[in-house]
Amino acid sequence: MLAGFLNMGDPAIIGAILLGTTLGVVFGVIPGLGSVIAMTLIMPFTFGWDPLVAMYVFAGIIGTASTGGAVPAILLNTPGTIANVCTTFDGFPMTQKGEGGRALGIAATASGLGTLFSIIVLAALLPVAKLLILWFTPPDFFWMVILGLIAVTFASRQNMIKGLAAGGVGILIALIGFSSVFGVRRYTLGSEYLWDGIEIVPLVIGFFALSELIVYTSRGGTIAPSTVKLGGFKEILRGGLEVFRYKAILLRGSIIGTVIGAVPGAGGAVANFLSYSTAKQASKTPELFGTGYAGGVVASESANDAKDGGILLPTLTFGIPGNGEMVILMAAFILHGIQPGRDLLVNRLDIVWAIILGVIAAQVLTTFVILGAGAWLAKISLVPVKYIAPFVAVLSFIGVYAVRSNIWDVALAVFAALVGFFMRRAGFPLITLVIGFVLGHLAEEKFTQSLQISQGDYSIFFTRPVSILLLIAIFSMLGWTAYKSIRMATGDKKVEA
Amino acid sequence: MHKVLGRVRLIGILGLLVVFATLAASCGRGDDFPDRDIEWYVGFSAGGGFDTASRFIAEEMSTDLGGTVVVRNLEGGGGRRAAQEINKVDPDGYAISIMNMPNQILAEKLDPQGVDFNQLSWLGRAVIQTYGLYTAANSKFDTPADVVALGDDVRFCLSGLAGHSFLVASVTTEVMNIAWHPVTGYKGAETQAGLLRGDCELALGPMAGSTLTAVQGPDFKALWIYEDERFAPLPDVPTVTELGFPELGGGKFANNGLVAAPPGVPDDILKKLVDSFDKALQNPDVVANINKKGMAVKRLTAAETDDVVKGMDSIVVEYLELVRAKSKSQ
Repeated sequence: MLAGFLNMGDPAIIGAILLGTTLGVVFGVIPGLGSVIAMTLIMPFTFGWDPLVAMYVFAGIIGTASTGGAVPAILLNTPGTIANVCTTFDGFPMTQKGEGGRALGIAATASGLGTLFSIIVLAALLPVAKLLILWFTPPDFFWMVILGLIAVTFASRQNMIKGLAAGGVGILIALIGFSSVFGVRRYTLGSEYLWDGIEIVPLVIGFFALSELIVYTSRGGTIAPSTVKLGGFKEILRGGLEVFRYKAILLRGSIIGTVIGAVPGAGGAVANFLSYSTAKQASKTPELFGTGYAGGVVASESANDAKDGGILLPTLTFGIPGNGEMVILMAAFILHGIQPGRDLLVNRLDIVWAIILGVIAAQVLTTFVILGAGAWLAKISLVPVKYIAPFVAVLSFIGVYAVRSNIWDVALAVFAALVGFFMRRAGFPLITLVIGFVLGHLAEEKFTQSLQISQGDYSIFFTRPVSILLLIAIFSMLGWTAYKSIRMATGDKKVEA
Repeated sequence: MHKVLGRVRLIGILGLLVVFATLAASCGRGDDFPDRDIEWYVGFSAGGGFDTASRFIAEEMSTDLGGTVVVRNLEGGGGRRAAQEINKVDPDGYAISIMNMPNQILAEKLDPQGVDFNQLSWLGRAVIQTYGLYTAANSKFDTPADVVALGDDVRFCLSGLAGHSFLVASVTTEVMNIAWHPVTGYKGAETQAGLLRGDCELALGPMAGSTLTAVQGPDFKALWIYEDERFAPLPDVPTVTELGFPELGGGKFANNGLVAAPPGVPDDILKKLVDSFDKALQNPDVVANINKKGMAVKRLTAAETDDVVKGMDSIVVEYLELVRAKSKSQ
């Protein structure tokens, strides 16, 4: 570790961290892109470099992309990466109130602390990581997803029926496409485009960014009231310090992010949604979520960045890449002649520390850059929408098209924008639809997988310690909600009497 | 009379002009080729094995042909979007595509979309990945004989009920007489996590990239490969032929990256593409770069590739009902 710190004084390594950080932030800020594309593009150029320097570049990208993605999520309601979707729920309403700078301060600090938490956990758990990764099996994952879906049910307390309907539609949309589990196509209407199901990037960008643009361009003016005072650097610093008021949300988000990150196949988006929905469910003031509540930004940003440490666990210890980022990192290992797993942990600890320290350095750097530039960035909320709208639309379309080079993805984004616009007008919450979409197919896959493992024996869902703990959490959540509803009803009757 | 003769002469001259123009155009077509960018479709995401190999070969072909061969990712349907595109574009040689075989033949047979792989103009084989069966290092199976002798029901971690690994699992267990059932939804690294957790006992996959790295490490072990000869990176792993199942060998289950142009590309243009493609694969730098990504280069002529595709087609046809029956029984 000491050698790792000393290496960080090397100009080549400083340059590598700066390069990785810049790429991570730029690709994070542009909607639909993200770390995977940034890493894919830079990988061939690292061939022939010192492996240590190359790893600092990759670590810089991994550590910063989702933090960069928070900036457009907060200021323009356009999540830079899929892992920033929940940041829009409260971050953008804050911008609308003229508190964009404060929201950026909260996001940057929560991201930094989330990453630090998960990297510390990673460093501490490396020796026992294998046990932890094997601990979380498909039935446990199923209950974890159910916990998230139940939280969705209560996510729209004011209008539970509409919330449930939107969540149900989200689950149905998740069923579209070829089901590898059953080997059949579902609801594809004979279309080759729908073979892979509905792509999440155009759906989310259409729902949140483009439908918001329709609202704003029809209304005109600016995102925040033009009379509002943005508050400058002081306001951003206040936001940064405010994170510590939400210690429980921060800790829960960081734990969820780290744990979900360590489960291969899950990823930042799932961590993001689970953290947000559980924070809302556990809150004494759930009605504040979605209205510009600082705790919502903390829940989202702490989890999506905390996944960085978790996701490195299976990659470094087993050579099992948990998501797209890690697949590219594995390819980079192979390109540079590094063998992940035991060999890496025993013989190439310099590489392990390069990645750990690289992620921390890049995250700290990004946090300070956002804190420093936040006041300037927040001024976007006072620029007339007629100037912002074309810029956001073009950026969104480029991002949507860049993911798969498929023009139909752009058409899907436009369609989602129109659906999103009318859903907003009819009072259907888009949040629950997207959460249902993300978690729905996971619930189906893990349920089927569990039954295939047990050869149809349902007891697999009730016999594992992790499953039992999650079931207790689910029943506690249901019980607590029922208790609160009864108390509220009784209170109302007393008032009426 | 003169008028009539004059008209006939005029029509004759015009006719000759048309014939000459057509001949000149057809003669010039091959000589001028390429006079614009050639598109190389990859039906998979950027950064993957087939994509990277395509980029190395395309770069070399660009130098050789004096034009630019541009790699275009047409991701979707497990490569089916690119296959459909190459099947319908103009056969002028300006579009070629890499296909994942025999996976895409199986997908087409199970759910026909109108692509006849036997009709495509094949250029050759870009890469090959040896297929193998592997398990966790602490698994109860220490030798291939343990699996073959097993009377119990064994679980395979697979991506789904329609992919190449499902075909290989169905055929292997049929030939070796092993009772089995699939556990689906495992892609890439999730498979290895599934093996370690005990979700399943066995998994199949190309011995390349992260899977090769895994079976070379201490946590996993390869039990056999679907070849007649041993695989250099895994010298201690026996082949199915050595184990007494030659019908599973011969590399027929290997993952092949085969490159094709649309049906009906003119011979002279196809020859240019085939020669350039083959020349690229003879460049040691290209081969070294592909090898670094965990894939092998075993060149095939266009005619040999055509035969390989026909052979794959007949294997898939032979076992299609078995795959369908096993899929339905789940």
